Amino acid sequence: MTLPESHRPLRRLSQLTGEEQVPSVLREAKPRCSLSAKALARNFIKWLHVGAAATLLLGFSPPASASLGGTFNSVDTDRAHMNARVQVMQHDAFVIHQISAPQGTVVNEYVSPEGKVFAVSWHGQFPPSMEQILGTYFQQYVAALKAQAELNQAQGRVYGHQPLNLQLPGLVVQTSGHVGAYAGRAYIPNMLPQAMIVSQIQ
Amino acid sequence: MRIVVLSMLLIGSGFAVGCGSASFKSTGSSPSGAPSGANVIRIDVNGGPEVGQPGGGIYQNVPFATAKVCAPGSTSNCVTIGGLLVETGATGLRVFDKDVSSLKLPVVNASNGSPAYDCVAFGDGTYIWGSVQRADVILGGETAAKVPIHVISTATDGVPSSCSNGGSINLNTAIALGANGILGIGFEPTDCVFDNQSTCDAADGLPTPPSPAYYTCSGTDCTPAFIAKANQVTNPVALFPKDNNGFIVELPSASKPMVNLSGYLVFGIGTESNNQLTSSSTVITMACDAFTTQFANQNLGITDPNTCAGPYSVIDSGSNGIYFPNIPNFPTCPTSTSAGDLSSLYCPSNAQDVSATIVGQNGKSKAANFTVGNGEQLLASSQTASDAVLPTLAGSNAFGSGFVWGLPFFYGKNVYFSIAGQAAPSGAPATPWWAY
Repeated sequence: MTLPESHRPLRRLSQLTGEEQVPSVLREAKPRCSLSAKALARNFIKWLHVGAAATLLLGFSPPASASLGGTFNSVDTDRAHMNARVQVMQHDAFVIHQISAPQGTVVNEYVSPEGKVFAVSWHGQFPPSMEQILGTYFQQYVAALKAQAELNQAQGRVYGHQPLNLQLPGLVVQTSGHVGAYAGRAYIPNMLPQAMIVSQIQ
Repeated sequence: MRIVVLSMLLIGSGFAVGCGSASFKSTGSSPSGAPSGANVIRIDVNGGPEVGQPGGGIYQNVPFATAKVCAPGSTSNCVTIGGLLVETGATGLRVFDKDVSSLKLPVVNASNGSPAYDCVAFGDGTYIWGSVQRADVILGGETAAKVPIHVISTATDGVPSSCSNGGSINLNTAIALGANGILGIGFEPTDCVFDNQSTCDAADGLPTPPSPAYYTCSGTDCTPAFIAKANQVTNPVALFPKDNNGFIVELPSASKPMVNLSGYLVFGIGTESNNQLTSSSTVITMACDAFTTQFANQNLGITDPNTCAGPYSVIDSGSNGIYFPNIPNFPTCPTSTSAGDLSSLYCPSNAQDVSATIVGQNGKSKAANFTVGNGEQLLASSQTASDAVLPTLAGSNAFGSGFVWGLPFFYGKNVYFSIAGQAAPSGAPATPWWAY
């Protein structure tokens, strides 16, 4: 499991762009669930950490997210799917919509100034629905997994446990962790904003 | 993470006891001072039960063991299942329904009173699904009574979409799994406890049951359900009457590819003369079931134990290599080889020695040096096609920023694992921790 790291460049408020992406009503999308005190503290501290790393915590927003490659304002199916809260964090070249499910799974959706979801990342005790977060790219992902599996079978080998690094045409999927601690990211290389580097997708 | 061989017709015995049907061209050395006793079972890094089977493949760099599964209370209504993948990174015994159906094991109910089903989604598009049932699990001379186990469904339908992840790869055959099941003996007491936090029991306080995890079904409609901790798929070692606070993975050293290697699982720590925590072993305590690896002048460990934030270094016998961030800029293997896309592996032209240090939350540290070989030569070469032991297999943790210490780390070591919630041996820190 890899969680957000603090080496993202900090931005000044005056540098922010794309405010139109931020919903005007900032509130909690869902009432806080009755997690244990430790889990609550964790969530709170985790959000502080993420907020600090992203420079600006704009607050809780109503749901606003979509699958990889989709438009930011299309639907909030991901949030609804995860029964989750959404937090919006603003960077220079993109906006992160962080969807936190009560069960602890966190999905970050990276939205370009054009309003497209160009990357997603996730971590938590349970994996998110890949079909949900990869959207129209899901079939390409599954096809690649199955092709690799068939190739391994032809080779007489079981591929086994290892972090994934699928470098597909127009799509990269990377995963890490194991049962109980999952993490990963997927992105569309040619949709990354110019000022952005891949390591910013955490 | 698993990418697996697609299922084909399974021919041959479902019960591959011990070494299976592999033909060995050479064998590794036996560990010196072999342990003996009721708390010892043999493990084999032998490629698994599907070696040489039609459609099956070799599963390299993971250990396999044998368990006896009995109807609760019975000493005769039992089956012996070999070729179980020994995973220290997961919890619970998981076997195929066809192998235990004759036992007519009692089902385990979820909190709503209906039979419980369990889903393990591996996060890479693969998953297993099946009923939770209760069995006596016998490992060597130790018996865990009435253990909730996962009985993997070999059916191809009936899996809820939140488990199947939209129709990805179902590991519902031994060929697909590369094993006759999984013997998960990790740090946790059940498969829904992580870092001492449970989430699947209604008492844990979540508003809705997490998924993919436990389900109940009405006809073909399966929905997430809460389940009491005592009914969750459970670490069998934790239910032994004694020798239940952990275990030791003992494997002899290996410096070059070999057909197989045999070692031992010793149950309990500090409970018998054969499982004492030696003074030369360093105890590594954890937070979030993770620790720190010092590597290339960097500390790859969580930065905040409350949030689990930061790089994540873990130990896992079910991972077949050592995976770590490519700080040294090793060349990665090609995306197109005869063994497929190997770009997650390192491919230095000559083997490279790497120095690292493992550091616990308790500040204790110990060197952990290893060698990075050429992944393409190891996996795409006919020379190593029948070698189950690949001590220099290493690759990139492309997204993760810590170390995954897989089986190559275990070669030549006795690695101790203590189980959360169990009594620590005298003088050792509270569980969970590991040591070597």
